[in-house]
Amino acid sequence: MRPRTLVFVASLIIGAAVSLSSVANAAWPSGGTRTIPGQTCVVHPFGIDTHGFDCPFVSDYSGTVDTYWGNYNSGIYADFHVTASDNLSVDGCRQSWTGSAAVCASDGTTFASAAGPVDLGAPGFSTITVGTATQWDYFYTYVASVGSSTIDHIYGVGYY
Amino acid sequence: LSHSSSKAATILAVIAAGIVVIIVVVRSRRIQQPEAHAVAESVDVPARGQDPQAASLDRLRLAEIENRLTSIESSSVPKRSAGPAPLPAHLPNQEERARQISQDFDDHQQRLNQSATEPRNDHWATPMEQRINSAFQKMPDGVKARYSGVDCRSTTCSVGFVWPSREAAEGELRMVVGSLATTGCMREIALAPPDGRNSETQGQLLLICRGTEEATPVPVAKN
Repeated sequence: MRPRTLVFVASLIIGAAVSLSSVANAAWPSGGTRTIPGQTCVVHPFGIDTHGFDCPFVSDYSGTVDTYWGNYNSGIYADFHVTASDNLSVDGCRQSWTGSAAVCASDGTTFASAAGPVDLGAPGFSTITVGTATQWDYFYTYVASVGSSTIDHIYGVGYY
Repeated sequence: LSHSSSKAATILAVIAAGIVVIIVVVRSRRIQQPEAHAVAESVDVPARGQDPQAASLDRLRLAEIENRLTSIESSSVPKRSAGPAPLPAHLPNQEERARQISQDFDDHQQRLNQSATEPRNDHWATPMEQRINSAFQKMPDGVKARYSGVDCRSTTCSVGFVWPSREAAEGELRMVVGSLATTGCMREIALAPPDGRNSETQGQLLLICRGTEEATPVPVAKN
């Protein structure tokens, strides 16, 4: 291989490595991304929040299969990006397997002082203290912003 | 000359490979950081700003999170094991579904009745009602729910919605529960058992702000 080619290849490797390391998502705890693979968070069009996102949640594994059952011992972890400073909240939510009832509990809040990635950890689904959970219920998280910022990207929601 | 160029290129390639290895190791360490670090990082976010008010809020929130963790640890909520949940014995049948809907609705009605007997605190209830009224006065296109009013007391509110059909109600249930997230209150809704005709369906969203410091509404910049 010619020296110039070698230098070119080396530059490519360095460039790729640097861009890989500068991806804007923040640190993710062990456990990996746990939103449902192939599904993204759904933005909700109304309410008092400027932006609200309903994020389907994979809270447990059953053998090798993702399930929707809640793991009460786990904390919720949301990793997203905002376009401006804002107050932000994350809720733990549970929908009955019947589809006829739902409940959300405020789980954690934070203030993002500037545009950029935000990590928001919260105690988890045990903060829901009303209703009776069953093993078939659906668990999900709700991420909302109060002010003028936009949550323009959700890297993932999971538990740790 | 060619020999020295080739030597220089080899050195460059070795340095590049070294940088790649270092970056990969650093990234893998970030991903595999311990749980405690993840929690710490979440509360570090406000501290990134220079605003002293934000730093003060940060301390308050840290204290709040600690309090909540303590209360969760000492609560009587039954906790499941950290491992995989047990497989359901069987898929629920129609009879079990009907029973579950009735139970959820009855429990919800009981809490709504308790809310209705709560004395009214105008100082808290009036701004909450104004805030909720203004949020739902005009529904965006595509939303089937119709807002039918709010009644706040001293720590709870009941917010009414009507849907043209049972199907529409079930389809927008999560949206309605999420719509008041930044009040910081727990929100709950349960629909009455279906009448089998998919007719107009009412639902009362209950906000439970009791015992939370979020009972004071957070100022909102509504777009």
